[in-house]
Amino acid sequence: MTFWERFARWVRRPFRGRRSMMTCREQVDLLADYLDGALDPEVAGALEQHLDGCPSCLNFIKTYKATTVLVRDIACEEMPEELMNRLTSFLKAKIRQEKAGGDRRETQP
Amino acid sequence: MAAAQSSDSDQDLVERLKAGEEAVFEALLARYQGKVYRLAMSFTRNPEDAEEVLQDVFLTVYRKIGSFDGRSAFGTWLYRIAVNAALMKLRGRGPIQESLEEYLPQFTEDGQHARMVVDWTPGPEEQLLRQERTQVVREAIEALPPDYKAVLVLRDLEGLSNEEAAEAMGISVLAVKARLHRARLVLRGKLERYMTEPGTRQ
Repeated sequence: MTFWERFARWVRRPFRGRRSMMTCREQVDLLADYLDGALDPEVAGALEQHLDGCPSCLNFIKTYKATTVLVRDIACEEMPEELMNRLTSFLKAKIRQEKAGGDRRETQP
Repeated sequence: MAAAQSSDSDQDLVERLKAGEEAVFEALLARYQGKVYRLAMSFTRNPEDAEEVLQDVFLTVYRKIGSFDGRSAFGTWLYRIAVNAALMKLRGRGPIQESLEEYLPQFTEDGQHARMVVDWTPGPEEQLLRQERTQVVREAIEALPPDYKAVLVLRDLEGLSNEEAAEAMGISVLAVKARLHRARLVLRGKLERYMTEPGTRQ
């Protein structure tokens, strides 16, 4: 650690112990619950207070949220009709086969 | 023997199937195949794999309907079978080679962001890149380990709650939350790299 890093840590020291001074790491850990509205109001308040003074965390939460929206945007194509027909035929044949097998087993002594 | 109506409840159909009225199996198939297809495609991104998952799932439903005790809804039970079948397909592909760590946020010793985080969320002019971005998101999801991918698909794509996803995967709600968060962090990190490092755009 360089002298300046040590100096910066020393300057930030008085703020670290305060309840409202949530760290970025803590903020990130709580994001999912925060977006679900599942956080205790006091903790949510501390998180918002942190966001007010931390552009990086504000950008982090924006991009985290955007990620969930982008995932939702992936539209999945409808099941092709051809596949439906193939699946129905496959299942019918398989079930017929199993029943025939089952019947044979039943007739054995 | 009356044909199954779209107004028949799942429970009715299941009871009739259990009682040996096999024609209703097709009604259940018609009702749920689209949903299972979507899930299987989201998990595997491969039409052949999705087809095999569909075959496995509905054969399992047919074979095991006798042991379905109705404690959960039929849809939930079927969903769980489908998630298992799709996960088996993914796990069968072998381990993911790529390290996820490099996409997770980095912090200093005292818990601050190690570097400035930028906002790369798209503005209106970025809409043109929508298709390209969808492809990037797909590939990023594709590269996630199976268990993370499953949770992400169930929660963020299918819109299940934490509790429903936990039930479908047979894991705890806490495990769902932990995996979901990590999957989102990795995905966010990958998208960040794509959006902020022009060199990675193909």
